[in-house]
Amino acid sequence: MLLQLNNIFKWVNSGGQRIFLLKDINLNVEEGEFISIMGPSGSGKSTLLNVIGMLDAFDEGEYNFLDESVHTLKEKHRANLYKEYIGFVFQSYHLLDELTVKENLEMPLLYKKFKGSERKAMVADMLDRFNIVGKKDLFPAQLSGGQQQLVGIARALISSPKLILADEPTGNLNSKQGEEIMELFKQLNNEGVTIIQVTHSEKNAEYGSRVINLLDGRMI
Amino acid sequence: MLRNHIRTAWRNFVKNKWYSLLNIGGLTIGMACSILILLWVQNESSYDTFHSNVDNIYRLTAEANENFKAAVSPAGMVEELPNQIPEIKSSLRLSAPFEALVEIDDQKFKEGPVFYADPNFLDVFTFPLIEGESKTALDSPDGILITEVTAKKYFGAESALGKTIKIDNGDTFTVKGVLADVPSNSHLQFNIIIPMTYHAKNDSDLVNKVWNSFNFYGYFQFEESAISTPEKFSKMVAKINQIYAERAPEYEIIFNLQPLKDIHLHSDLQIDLPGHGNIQYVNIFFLVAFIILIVACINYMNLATARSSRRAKEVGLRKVIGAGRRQLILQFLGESLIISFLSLVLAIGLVYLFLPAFNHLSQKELVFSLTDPLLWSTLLFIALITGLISGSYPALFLSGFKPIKVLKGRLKLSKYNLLFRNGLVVSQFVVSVLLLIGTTVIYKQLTFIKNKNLGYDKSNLVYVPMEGEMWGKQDALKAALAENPLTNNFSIISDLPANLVTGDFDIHWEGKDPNEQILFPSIRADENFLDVFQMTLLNGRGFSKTSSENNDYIINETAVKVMGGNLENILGKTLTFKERKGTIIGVVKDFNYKQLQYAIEPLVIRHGGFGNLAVVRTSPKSTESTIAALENIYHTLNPAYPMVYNFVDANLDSQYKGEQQMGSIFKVFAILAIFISCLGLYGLSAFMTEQRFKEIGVRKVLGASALRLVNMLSKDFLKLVFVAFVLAIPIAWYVMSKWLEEYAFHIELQWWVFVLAGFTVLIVALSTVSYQSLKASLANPIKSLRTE
Repeated sequence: MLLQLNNIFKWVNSGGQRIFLLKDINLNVEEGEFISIMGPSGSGKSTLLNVIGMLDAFDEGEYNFLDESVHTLKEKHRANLYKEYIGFVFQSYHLLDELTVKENLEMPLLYKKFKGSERKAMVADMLDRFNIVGKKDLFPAQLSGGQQQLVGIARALISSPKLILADEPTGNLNSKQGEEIMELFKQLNNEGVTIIQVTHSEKNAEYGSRVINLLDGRMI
Repeated sequence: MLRNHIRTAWRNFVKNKWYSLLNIGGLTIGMACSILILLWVQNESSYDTFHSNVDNIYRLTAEANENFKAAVSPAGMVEELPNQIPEIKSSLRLSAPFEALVEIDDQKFKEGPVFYADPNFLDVFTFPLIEGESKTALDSPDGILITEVTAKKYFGAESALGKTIKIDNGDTFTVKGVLADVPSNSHLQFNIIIPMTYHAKNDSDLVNKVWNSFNFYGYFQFEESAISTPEKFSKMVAKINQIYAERAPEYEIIFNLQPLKDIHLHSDLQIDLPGHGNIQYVNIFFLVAFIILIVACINYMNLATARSSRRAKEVGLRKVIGAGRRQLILQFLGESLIISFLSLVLAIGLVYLFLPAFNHLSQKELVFSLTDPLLWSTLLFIALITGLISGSYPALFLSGFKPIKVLKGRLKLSKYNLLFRNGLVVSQFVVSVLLLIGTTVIYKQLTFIKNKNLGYDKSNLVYVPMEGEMWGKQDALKAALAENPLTNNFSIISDLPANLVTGDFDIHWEGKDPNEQILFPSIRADENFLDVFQMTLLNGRGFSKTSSENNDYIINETAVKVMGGNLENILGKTLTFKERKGTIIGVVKDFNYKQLQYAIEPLVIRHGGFGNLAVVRTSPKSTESTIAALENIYHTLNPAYPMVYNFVDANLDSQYKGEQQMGSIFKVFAILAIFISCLGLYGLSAFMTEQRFKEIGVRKVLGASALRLVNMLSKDFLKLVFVAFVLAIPIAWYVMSKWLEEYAFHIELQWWVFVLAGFTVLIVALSTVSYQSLKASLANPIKSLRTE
């Protein structure tokens, strides 16, 4: 078991009323799964993903990640946990504009205290694997959307996480680029990486092994 | 990691060129200003520290009463004290400095300053000899010491040692030593030293070893740490006073010891050597340097936090990817340190560029030498502190962002953030308003000094000192002056009513309280004095030819009050001044005969047919021909000496050189401080407008006019300037009143000065801000709305 959510609630208080963002979420994720979270706008998809990624807190419930109970952990430990095991992929890529492709890939390694030679090898490996060696000295603005997302995924993968969280990874891409990215996810999943993605598209959801539908913060 | 940070910093820097230029520009100017001011402060505080015995040397000073403290002491007392006080290792006397006529092989030079000094001069003070033997250099009365620059002037490349020099058309001296040029940070400035033993041949003070005439500067070198503690020090001072009281019980003089180091900055003494500093100015400037640096740091903080929404995404991302808060803080501090060190390099360039101009402004010879390790460490320290201060807030602020919030969308800056930033802007403008008010008040006071009616007409008065043969030929001089219509409006006087240093207690009149010790300065003048200086006689008459035989006295209004009389009944009263009993024949309207720091004291004018100065009133059109005529007369009577003339008003102005320098330095830095603040304000307004880009678009589509938008955008900033103005007023009021209190004669602080300063800052701020607001208001609203 990779992670387990038990009776997760998350709410905000607005104008004296409690508005639930997540309501009684129960979810078990095994290693090697490829899960798609679906639902209309505002149903809590991204919130759920952020809770799983430990970027956002929840108000009630239990969350176990690799036998660690996340809800009892201190901020710092939690950060260490997600740093080590989770990679993030964003809809708008979120590459650093000031850094080249190579440097963007290297950044997560810098925060994990890898040696210079190790970093170089890992970056070269990743560039090779994604076939973007020729682009390594370009800045994000010089790449197409699909290529940027490719770099984004490569960056998420570089420190070999167990879990990849992708928030509408193809949302800003055209259909051909989107397909390529989904193929890539499929391939990664086959290699053993657990993936949870948020998506609007039925077609993309079909790549996954399981679909979770949300409506108004509830699983249906 | 470090390389990655530097790379990010550099690319950010290049990408936002304008922003970076504003930042670096502000910091560079701020640092350059601070470095210049600190060089000045360092120079001012370094006076006399080059003497190896500096901590054991003290000067004897005398206090007659609260208003009259003098730097001089009696010759006999200084000589005698070491015999009675074993802690004094040696004592040293210096005469007042003077100018001498120097003759070498028929070449004549007017040279100065010259001092008579006791033989241990080179023992006590550390003035190294380039040539000659310091132990014996001043032993024989016909020896003389000259400085290197003087030696070069007289003898060129030849060795000066053993050469002879004729002084004042009289005795011949042999050069016994050549001194290295006197450091500019010495309170003693001289070119020639003549042994006191020579002076002792005919100076009555020295011959009689007097204890009651104050004509010499006395220095004591104490045994190592003999008076190092405050208790030992006050015991020593008490002992000196006790010895004096036993020896000269008829005078109530309080003596004190002044550390050599304090002479330059902590002296408020009269009859002192020229060229004093003022500790108050040093403190003010030190503060100004610090404030300017802070203002520059504030710019950085402000711009960085205002721009934080742009960096927010980066922060969020780095956090998601694995950066800890500490790493981010280090990154942002690193960035500000890079900026501050870059600014330091540029500032060093600026300092090199502007040091000559600054030296001119401050009348100093400051050197900026990068080989000095102390200077290096100070500079690095400044850059480090600047970097840390300016980076601290952005670093703490930016690193605290919650990643999902900033990755989701635009960051909304908190109220606290805005408040903090506004606080910073307000403090910048408080400084600007303060400096501006300071500059205006100083300028007004200096103008006031320049134009104040002193009680006589100071313009068009030429004066020539009596020198050489002229002393004995004063009657011939008078006759010659009277003959020429250009020069016949003349007066012979003892002292200029500019910085009168005389003062006697030896004065008596009927009804004087015998216990009262009142100091009466005096001037000796001929019968033309009041006319030539155009003073107003309130009652009675001026001197006649026979006035000196009759011991006639003219006194000023203050003296009338001190003596308890009035204008009518004072005339004809007897007055005994310095044992000479005479009559008061006239009362002159009060006139200033000292600097305007001092109130007008009672004054006695005595009659005398001879004096130290000949003063001629010229008509404005014929000044040149009058001087030519004077030169002609002078040359005939005193061929050995070149004539030196000067103008009374120029002499008066030169007394306020320190104030004028301070005024002009202050002005420059006030302008720069405002400029730096405006750089920051400009950047800040640019980012504020950018943040409200959408709002401006919406408002415009809904029908707001450009003028209304400019008004809306500028209003917030103007509020800040107003708050700054309100805060600055009481501070400025307090500080400037304190400064003005130093002058017995000063301007009143007027409300319009404050309003003017506030208004100026407001206008400058408004024009800075309105450029950005105008640009935003005139932009096409479609653009701003499409981006959403």
